[in-house]
Amino acid sequence: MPSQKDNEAQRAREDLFENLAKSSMIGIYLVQDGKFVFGNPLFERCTGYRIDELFGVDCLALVILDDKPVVRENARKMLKGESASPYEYRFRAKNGELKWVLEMVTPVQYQGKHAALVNFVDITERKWVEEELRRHRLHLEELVEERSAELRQANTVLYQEIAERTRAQEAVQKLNEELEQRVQERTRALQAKNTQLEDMLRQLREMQQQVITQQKLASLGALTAGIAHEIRNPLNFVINFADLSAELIQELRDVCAKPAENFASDTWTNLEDILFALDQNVQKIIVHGKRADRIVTGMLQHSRGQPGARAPTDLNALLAEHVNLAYHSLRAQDTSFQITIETAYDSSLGLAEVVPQDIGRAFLNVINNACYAVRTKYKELGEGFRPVLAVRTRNLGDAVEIRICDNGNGIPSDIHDKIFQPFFTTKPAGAGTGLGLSISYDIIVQEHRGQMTFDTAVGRFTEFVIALPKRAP
Amino acid sequence: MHVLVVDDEADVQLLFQQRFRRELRTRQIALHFALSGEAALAYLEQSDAVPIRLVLSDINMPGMNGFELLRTIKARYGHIKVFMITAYNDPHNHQAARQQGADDYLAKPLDFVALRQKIGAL
Repeated sequence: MPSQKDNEAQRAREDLFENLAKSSMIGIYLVQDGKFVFGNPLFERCTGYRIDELFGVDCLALVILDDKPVVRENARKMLKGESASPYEYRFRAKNGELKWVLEMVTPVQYQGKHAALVNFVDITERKWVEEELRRHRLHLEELVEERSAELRQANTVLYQEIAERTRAQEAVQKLNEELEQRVQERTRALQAKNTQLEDMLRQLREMQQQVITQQKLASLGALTAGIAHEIRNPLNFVINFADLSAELIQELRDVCAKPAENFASDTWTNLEDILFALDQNVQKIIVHGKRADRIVTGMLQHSRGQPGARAPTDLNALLAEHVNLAYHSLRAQDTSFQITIETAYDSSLGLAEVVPQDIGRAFLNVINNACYAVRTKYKELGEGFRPVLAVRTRNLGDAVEIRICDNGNGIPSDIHDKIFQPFFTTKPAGAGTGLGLSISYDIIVQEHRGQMTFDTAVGRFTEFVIALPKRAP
Repeated sequence: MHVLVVDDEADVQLLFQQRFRRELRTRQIALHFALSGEAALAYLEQSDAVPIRLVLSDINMPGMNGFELLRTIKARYGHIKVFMITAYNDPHNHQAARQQGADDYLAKPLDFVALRQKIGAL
């Protein structure tokens, strides 16, 4: 039997509990034998039931079906001391509202029997907020997901674009490289073309120069032919009348001399002096008239009306003949003059179709010039100088090359472009007509379509190089 | 010997007269002159009495040139010798004169020594 003192203490504890429970800010209820036995005001507020409505009701009656196992299991563990964590669940209040609570269970003695003391906190609002937050979060996540998807798509598109761009750029670069290569190729081709064109232009200029020279020579030839003919007629009179006058002077001298006694001796002497001077003058007229005629002859050779006949010619023999001719005419002028003539005739030359008289004249002109050059040098240097004339021929296949070389004083560079011009001469007045090389050039280049060039070094040598095609063009 | 000299230059007459002074004096040669081909033909026609044996003709003359005169003389008076005298001393003219019947060909300036020999050889 419990003592009265024990009973009082028991009641005091129960009063304390009831007061505590009534004023508590958390929900408190007691379960005994699985049924509600007590609930504090907050429990009532929260469930919407008065506790007397719930006496004897299963403590899990309000819990929603899904959460019942959770509650049962957690409560059991807590009561056994296996767990100390509060647990959450949902129950339906009297007004049908769904509520969330966080709950803890403690085993107690109530009215002398085991009971479960349960305290709980209404966490519905928090759950709502949480739910709201969750929804928001979900929504946000969805949004983020959407955005991400969009961004991913945009990214994909961008990646594709970038890839395309990259490909395009690569293509452009490749194209650029190709273009550059092509430009370089073109440039090279153009440069090559340019060089070619420059060459052609130079050739054209040379040809033009040649044509101009030919035209000049041709028109000059026609003009000189006309002049020459017109001059020949008066020249005919000058020479013949002068010649006649010379005869007449001689006759006059004879006539006067026979009856010399007809004159006083001083008168006769005077008369003889006059006749002598007259005769001298007339002789001068004849000399210069003939000189003028030689010039005219030279000029006329420039403009032969009809070309001579071509004939197969042994150029070695023709050259030898004219070397001989020049040598003898030189010896005739100056018997003391010695010259060494070196010849090297190529025996494989064969025959060339040329106009022999004309080519012979050209050879003679060049050889005469060579002889004149060595003779001039000989006069300057005397015995120490040994004049040499070298004549060579060479078979070029379709053409024949003739080289005529002397070891005279050479041709100064300032007159290189003049030596083929008509009337250009370095010889003293009366010694040359200035037509020799001009005529020779005319014959070789114009008439025979050959080439005539020269190589020279002042004080050392002059070599004329003539190339003649074997066949007439 | 009667010689007709045909040249459009009048001074030719003086030159020939002086050159052939001796022959003229000794009457070995008689000189006649015409200043053109036409005049030469007219002279030959009206002077049948004068037995011209030789015509010396220039080639280049105004009007009838020396070659035409040569052909006409050779056609009409076969016995008359014709020497052509010209400043055109080239093979082409030389050959042309020969082909048209010229008996000789002389170049200006005239070499009278040679001419005298050729006349003497006739």
